[in-house]
Amino acid sequence: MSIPVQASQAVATSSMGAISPEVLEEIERVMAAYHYRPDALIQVLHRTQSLLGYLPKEALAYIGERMKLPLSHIYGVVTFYHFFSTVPKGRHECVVCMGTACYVKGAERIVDRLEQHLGIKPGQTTPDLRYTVQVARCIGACSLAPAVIIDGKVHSQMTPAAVLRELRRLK
Amino acid sequence: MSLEMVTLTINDEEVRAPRGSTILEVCRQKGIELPTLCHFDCLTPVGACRLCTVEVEGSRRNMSACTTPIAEGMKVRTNTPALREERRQILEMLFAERNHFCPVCPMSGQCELQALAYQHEIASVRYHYAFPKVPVDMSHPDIGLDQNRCILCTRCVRVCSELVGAQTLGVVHRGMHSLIAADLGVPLGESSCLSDGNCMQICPTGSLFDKRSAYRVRPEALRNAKPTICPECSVGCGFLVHSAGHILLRIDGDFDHPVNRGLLCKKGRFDLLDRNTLPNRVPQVRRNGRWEEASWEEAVAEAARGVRRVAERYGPEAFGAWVAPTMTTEAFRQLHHFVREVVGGSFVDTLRGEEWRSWRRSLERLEAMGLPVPRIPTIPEIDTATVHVIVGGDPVISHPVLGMASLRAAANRKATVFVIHPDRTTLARATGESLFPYDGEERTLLRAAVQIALRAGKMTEELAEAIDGVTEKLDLETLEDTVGVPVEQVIGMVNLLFAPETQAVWFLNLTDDHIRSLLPDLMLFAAVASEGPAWIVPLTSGNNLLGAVEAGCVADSMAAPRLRAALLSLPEWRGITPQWLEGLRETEFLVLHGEDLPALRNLADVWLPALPWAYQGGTRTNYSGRAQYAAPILFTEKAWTDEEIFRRLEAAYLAEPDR
Ligand code: SF4
Ligand code: SF4
Ligand code: SF4
Ligand code: FES
Ligand code: FES
Repeated sequence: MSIPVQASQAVATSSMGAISPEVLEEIERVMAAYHYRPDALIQVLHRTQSLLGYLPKEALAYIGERMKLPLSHIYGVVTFYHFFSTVPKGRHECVVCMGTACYVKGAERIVDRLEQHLGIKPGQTTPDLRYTVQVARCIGACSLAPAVIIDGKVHSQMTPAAVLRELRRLK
Repeated sequence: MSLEMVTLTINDEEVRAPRGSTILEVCRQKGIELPTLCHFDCLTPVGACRLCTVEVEGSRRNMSACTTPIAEGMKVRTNTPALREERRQILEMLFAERNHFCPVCPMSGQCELQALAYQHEIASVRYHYAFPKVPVDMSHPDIGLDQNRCILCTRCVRVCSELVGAQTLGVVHRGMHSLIAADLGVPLGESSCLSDGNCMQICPTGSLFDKRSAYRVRPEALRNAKPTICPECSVGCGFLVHSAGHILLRIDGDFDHPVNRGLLCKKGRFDLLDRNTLPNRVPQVRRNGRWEEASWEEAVAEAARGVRRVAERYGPEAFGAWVAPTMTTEAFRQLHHFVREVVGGSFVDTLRGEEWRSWRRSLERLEAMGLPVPRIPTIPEIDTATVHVIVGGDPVISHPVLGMASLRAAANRKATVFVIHPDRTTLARATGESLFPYDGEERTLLRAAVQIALRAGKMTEELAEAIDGVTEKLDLETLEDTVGVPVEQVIGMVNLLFAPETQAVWFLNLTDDHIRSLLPDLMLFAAVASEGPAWIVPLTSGNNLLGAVEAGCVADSMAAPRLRAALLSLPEWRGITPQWLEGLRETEFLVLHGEDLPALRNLADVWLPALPWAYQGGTRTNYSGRAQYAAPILFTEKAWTDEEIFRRLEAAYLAEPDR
C-alpha cells in the first residue's frame, strides 16, 4: 500500500526544544532512506546520536511518531545498548578500562574516586556538562594497565590521583 | 480442516496432537500438570521464566514447554527429580533477585509465584538475596507498580501491546537490571496508559496491583467473585465482581467470556466501583408545591393516581414515557406493558432512539436496492479484518474494548486503520493513517471517495449517484484546501477498500448527529466497496439500546406527541437537552425515575430513585445483538429494582379505582 505519509511535523516540531530544523531534516532523511522500516531503528538512533551527541527525549518522540513505533519500544532499545545516551555528553570524556588486567591493577579504585570527586557514576555526566565518565571492556593496552582514555588519548598506568589531575587541567 | 497429527510420548505415555501445538498445550490438554509463570494463554509465548522446563530425549538441554513445538516421535518428561530441582532453583532465584516480602504484599494469597513456591515446598532460599534498590511507582490513581515484586515475565508488556494495543509498557535496560517502564521512562500516571488495568490483572505477582482493593480485605474475601455483564457501554463485556457486604472491592475481566475474552476498560474495571453507594435516597413526592420524602408504596401510589387523573381527563393517549437506553430488557418490557397496554398511553420512546432509527432506515435502503445487508462482526471476527475505518467518535473512549481491537490491529500491523475525525483522537494518534477532515466536511470527503471509485471504474454511475446525491462533480485537485485531506490519502484508502483481498470493518459513531445524517450514504458506500456483506459496527449510546428496541420502547418515528402526563425513566442518564425539555412543558403530571436531575426538579411530581447498577439484574443486548443475562451482584430490601418499580406501579394503577 502506498499512502503518502502525511507530514506530521506540525505535531513534533512544536515541542522540538533545542533541536534545529536542519538536524530534524537530516534525521528525516535517514528514516526515509530506510523507508521508515521498524527494523532500521538502531541505525536511525545511531545517526541521531552522532548528530546531537545524545538522544534527547524530543528526538525519540519524533522518531517514534515518524516510524510509527511506540515510545516504550524505542526506550527499551535505547537503554539496552550502553552506547546510547539520553543525557547530553560532557565536553570531556573519561573512559576507564575495566578489563581483567586493569581491574586487577585497581581500575575500580579509579572509578570510585571519580564518583567521590565528580559525584557521578559511569555512564553519567556532571551537571555542568564538563565531564562524562564511562567504563569499557579491555581496550588492548593490558601491559600498561590500568588504562584510561581521556578525550581519545590513552593514558597508561594510571592512579586515581593522576586521572583527577589530568581532568582538572581540562576546561 | 484436517489437522496433521503427530505422535509423541509424554512421561512414557503415547499421545497424539495436532502438528504445530507446543508441548505445553498438549500437556494442558491431556491434564498433565506443568508449572508456568511467563506463559499466558492469549499472549505470544516468550519462554522467559523457564519454569515449564521439560526433558526432551536426545536434546542436550532442557526445553521450555511453552515455546517448543511438538515433533513426531518426541519423548518428553515433565516431572523427573532433576526437573523438580531445576524448577525449585528457578523459583528460589526469582525470590533472591528482588525484594519479596509476602506478609506485606497486597497480592499475598493470590500470587502465582507464592503459590508455586508452596507447591515446590520451598521453605528457604539457598541464594544470597540481592536486595536491589528498585523503583516503586504510585503515580497512577488506580494501578500500583512496585517492581520489588516483579519477576520480569513480561506478561504486562505483552498484554499492553498485543491485546490492549496501547504499547505503553516496555522492558528497559537488560539482564538483572531490567525494569518495566512506561513510554520514555515516565511515571505510569503521566504516561500514554489507558488505565484499563489489564496489565494489572494479568501480573502474576503483586508487582502491578490494584490500589483500590489492596489491603482492604483478607485475600480469602477475593475468592468468590460473581460473574456478570458490564453495564457501561454496548460492548457488553463479561466480568467478575468481588464484593463484601454492600461494598464492591474489585472487578476482574472474565477470560472465559466470548465477547471480551478477559479485557476490560477503565470504565468497567474502575469507574463502576465508584458508582455503587447504596443510595440513602428515598422516593419523594411533591405535596402542595413542596418535596416530601415518602415510602416506596406511597410514592408509587401517588404516581399511579396522577397518571389515572390525567388519563381520565384527557384520555389515555395523553400519557407516555421516555426511557434512557440504560435499563435491562425486562425493565423495558415491564414499563412498556404498563404504559401502552395497561394505561393505554400513546407513546414510549428512548432518548437517543434516533440512533436506532437511522440505522434501520439505512438497512432498509440497502435492502430495497438489492444489496447485501451488512452484518455486525464479533470481536474475534474484527481481529481478522485487514482494514478498519473509524468514522467520527473515539471508540477507545466510548466503547473501549472495541477500540482496543483497532488499537492492537494498528500496533501489531495486522490491519490498516483509518480514523476519520477532525481531532487527533486516541486512536488517530496511535494509527498514523488518519484522515483529519475539517469539522463538518465528512460529506465532502465521502463524495470525493465516491468520485475516485467511480473514475477508477470500481463503482457504477448509478450507485455513485445514489450515494452522492448531486451530479455536480468535485474538484479533486483542491480537495486538500476544501476538506483538509490530501487527495492521495483518499485514493490510497479507496484502493485498499475496493481491493479484492480486503476485509474491511467500519465503526460508525451513531451518537454524532452529523455522522448519523451521513449514515445511509456511508453504509451504502461500505456495502458497495465490500465483496460480501459489509462489516459495520454501530457505536451507540447506552448499553441496551437494542433491548429497548426489542421491548418496543423505541418509537417508529421521532414525532413526540403532546403529553399531559409522562413517566421519565432515566437511570444512569444525564444527557438531556433543552429542546427535549421544551416538549415536556405541557405536562401536568410527571414521574421521574432515575437520577435526581436538577433540570427536571421543578417539573416533576414524583421522584423514584434508581438503584445502582450492581443491584439491577436482567438482560442486556450488546452492540452485535447478543442478549446476555447480567446477574445482580448485591441485594437490598430497602429499595426496588427498575423492573420491580414498574411492576409495582402497574399494580398500584390497577388497584386505584377500588380505593
Ligand atoms: S493499564 Fe492498559 S494501557 Fe495502561 S499500562 Fe496497563 S495495559 Fe497498558
Ligand atoms: S510487572 Fe508483573 S506482569 Fe509485568 S513483568 Fe513484572 S511480574 Fe511480570
Ligand atoms: S468496553 Fe464497555 S462493556 Fe466493556 S468494560 Fe468497557 S465500558 Fe464495560
Ligand atoms: S584490561 Fe584494560 S587494557 Fe586490557
Ligand atoms: S512458562 Fe514457559 S518459560 Fe515461562
